[in-house]
Amino acid sequence: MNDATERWVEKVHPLARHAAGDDPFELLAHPTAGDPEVMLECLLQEFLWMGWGTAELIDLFRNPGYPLLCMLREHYGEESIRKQIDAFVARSGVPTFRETLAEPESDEIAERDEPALVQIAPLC
Amino acid sequence: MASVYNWQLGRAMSYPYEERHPKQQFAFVFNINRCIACQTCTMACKSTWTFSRGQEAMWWNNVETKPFGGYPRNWDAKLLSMLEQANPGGQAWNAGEPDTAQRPYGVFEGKTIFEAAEKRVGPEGAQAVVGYLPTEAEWRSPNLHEDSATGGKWAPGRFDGSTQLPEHRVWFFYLARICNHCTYPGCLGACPRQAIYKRPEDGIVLIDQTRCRGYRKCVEGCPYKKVMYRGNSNTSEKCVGCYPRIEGKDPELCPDGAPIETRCMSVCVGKIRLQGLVEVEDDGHWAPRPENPLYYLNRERQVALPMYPQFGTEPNGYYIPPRWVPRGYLHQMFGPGVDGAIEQYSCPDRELLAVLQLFRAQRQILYRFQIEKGPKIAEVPVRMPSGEVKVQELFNDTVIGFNKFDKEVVRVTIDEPVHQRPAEKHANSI
Repeated sequence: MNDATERWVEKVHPLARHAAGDDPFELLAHPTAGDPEVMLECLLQEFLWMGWGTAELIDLFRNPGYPLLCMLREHYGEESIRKQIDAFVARSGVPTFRETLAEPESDEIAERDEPALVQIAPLC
Repeated sequence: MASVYNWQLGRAMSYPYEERHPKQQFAFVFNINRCIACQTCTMACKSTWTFSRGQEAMWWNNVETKPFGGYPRNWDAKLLSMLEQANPGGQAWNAGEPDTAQRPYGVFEGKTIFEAAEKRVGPEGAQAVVGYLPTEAEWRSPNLHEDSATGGKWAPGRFDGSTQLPEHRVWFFYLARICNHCTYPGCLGACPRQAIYKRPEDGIVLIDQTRCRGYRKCVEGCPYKKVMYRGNSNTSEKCVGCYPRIEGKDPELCPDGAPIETRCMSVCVGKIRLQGLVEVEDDGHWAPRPENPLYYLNRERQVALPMYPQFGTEPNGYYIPPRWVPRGYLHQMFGPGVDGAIEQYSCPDRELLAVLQLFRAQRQILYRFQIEKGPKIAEVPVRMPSGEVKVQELFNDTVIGFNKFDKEVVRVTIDEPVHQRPAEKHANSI
């Protein structure tokens, strides 16, 4: 220990330390294999087929409230996602689903009684 | 213990009580291919049922991120490892000879939470159920920072700087969960006070608050951890299946007495949820009603699968598995039926495509559907998970949903695909 440089080391901030294998607070998970492209394609198909437009979808990918979509946007870039949407729509089109709710019959509405009042606490 | 038949396991199993079945069973299907965790369902449930003091950390409906998260934290990984310890290497399926009615997913040859308990003998005798009591800390953070492998707060451009773990490839998915109102509930089997019961009219599992003494055996015994303890009342509470809506007794929503879907189902903006009631025969099998959308999806087509059927409680919540997730993980979570379910869902035929449009089409419970046949309108190329490209035929069909009184409540029509083309390539139009 004659050399003074050996007695002085750089200070390491705790945030920069390597995770240890036996550290239960850091190792919450381990990385897994997978293909984000398949994930992106599946999600695009689901939302396009539900009637979402390109602009609406891009907005969803930008929204930090949806980390899954945001991470995909970070991974691929917005332009790439936009191209994938266009390619998907050009390839298969977007089927639309028309939804019609049965309206209650007019006499049924007229006959509907007001709901009875329910006493929920004893009267003082 | 008594011997009961569990069709999801394809065999008889041990259960603390004799087999008895309700006339109808509350059941639901979640299509998690579409869920992006907007948490609208979670907040609808919270604001309806668990907004009081003592219920702060109580979320009867939650949406968690898989594979990294869970509410309570790592609930499934913990229980799976307990069962593996009880039966090392034996928790396996024999998918050899499936039989649609008796054993649609083959036979589970491992031990359920009830069977594994038989060898865990304490001073008071054998345990009823293998389980564990989550710590207070594990209940505290439902879906906080679960979207990154390192568990830190996610921010654009950065996952987490606190560790050197390599970041995962993003294949995760969101898992929406409520009580499964199981046929053989773990909570019911574990309760020493017999305070938990299954309603004979709809199979909803409830806790009798006057009998409950807060021993928390139900919290320990429910493998899905969907029973929660409330400190200030010293009782356990759980999802009540929004039973006034199921009974058709909400005077505003159902003046004619037609059952309405639960709060969490009714508000789902992603259209991932379909809920209903299925008829149950005396022996516990679902009465064959292929015109009932739930029977059709679960039993007729088997496109929706129970979550962790190997636990042995015969859960009545079913999931259409996410297509992009590695199969090994899905097999563990949804059993051997995964491959068939994904194959069908990726390129649905005209009947399945029509029924899938009933998800959240309206809020009344649908008892029956009918499809009006229309002409073929398109052929669409679809990439299967294997990479193979199949051609999906689209028809101008209309699916019609009927309520309890066989009255039409909704119709959804599949229209011709719209092809968008960039405007600049067609500038020569008039």
